[in-house]
Amino acid sequence: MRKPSTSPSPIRLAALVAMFFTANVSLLAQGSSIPTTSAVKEKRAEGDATASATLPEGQKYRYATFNGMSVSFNLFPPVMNLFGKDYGSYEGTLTIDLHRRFFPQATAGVGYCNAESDDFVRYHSKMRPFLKAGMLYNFKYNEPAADDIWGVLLRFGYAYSEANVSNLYYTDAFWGETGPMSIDGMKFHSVWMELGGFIKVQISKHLSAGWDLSWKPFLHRGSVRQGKPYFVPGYGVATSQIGMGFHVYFDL
Amino acid sequence: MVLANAIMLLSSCGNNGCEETRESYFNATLTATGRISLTKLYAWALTADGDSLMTSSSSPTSLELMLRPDTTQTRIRLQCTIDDSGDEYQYDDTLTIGYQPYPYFLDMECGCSMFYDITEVSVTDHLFKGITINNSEITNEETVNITLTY
Repeated sequence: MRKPSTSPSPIRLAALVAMFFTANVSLLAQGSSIPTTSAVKEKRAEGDATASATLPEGQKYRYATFNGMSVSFNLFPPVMNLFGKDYGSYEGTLTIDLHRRFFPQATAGVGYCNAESDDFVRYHSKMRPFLKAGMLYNFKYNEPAADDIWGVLLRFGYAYSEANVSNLYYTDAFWGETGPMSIDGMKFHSVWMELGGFIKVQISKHLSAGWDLSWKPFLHRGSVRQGKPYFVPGYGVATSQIGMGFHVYFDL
Repeated sequence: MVLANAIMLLSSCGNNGCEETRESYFNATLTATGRISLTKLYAWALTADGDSLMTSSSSPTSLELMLRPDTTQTRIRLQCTIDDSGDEYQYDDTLTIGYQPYPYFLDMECGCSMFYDITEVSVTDHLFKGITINNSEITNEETVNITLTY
């Protein structure tokens, strides 16, 4: 008879993590020991009326250590899909505001690719996950009205992807053309860095929009014996090292 | 419309045309052991349809060959002219290369290259005295695969 497992299953573990996260968000929303972003903003609004451009002597930061948090979604890939792109990465990001200066972030998402080249080479990558972690740094962190911010960003990403490529032909000057050939089951583990700038603009009390532009060198592209990844979830097309995002932020 | 064009332009950065080397070559270094020197070399691919000249060179120190991608063996006839203290001699040898070919995906613009794992190499001994495998992998990067001594 099969004994019940003593270690939690992955599904159970995921449910526990989700419960823990929900409980924390609820606690924050109820105004427990950690203030919500709204509470912080209300307090800040009260203070703004009397705030001066310079801080009192000995005070390093105008804003609290925990100054709120937000979730955001990058709308750039879905928009690109509307323009006919045959690949995309869809992501959600949790951002914490520390002193209005540092914004550590964690991103999770999925990406897929179903592309065909002008020479009819087909690259198929199933929907696979990716993770990013990093930080935004705001230059205007001590300004009295700091709703619109801009600065630099640094992120690190990891993605796992699987790809099949078909309709490949090889031509050399002596033997001529060989093909068509296929490569199946390529598995890639890719790691990259994103370095760039961002702007975030407040639209309403709980809603902001942001843009970022970054340079994305691979730290480990993840090439395998049969080839290199053409598309990496969360990164995009591997031959392009420039990335951009359009984010909508919801303050929690 | 301008924004849409800018977006399309940005998203396609670095994605215009193939910048990789597609062809892969089998490279051999030719090393003399005595006073003789190789003055002329013709390399003929031996096929069922007959011999076909693949490459020729004067005073060669290396040899670059293309392996047949749709089989596991390529045979090359090496027609050599040597100079031995002012006298010229001709030799014919056959180089046989056994390998496992496999496609290597580069990217969407370039398609694939053909890489090979060398399984065996042999050469007849009319002129050549020995053969050493330096690197059994043939890729699109330049590397010496074997050394032929004569």
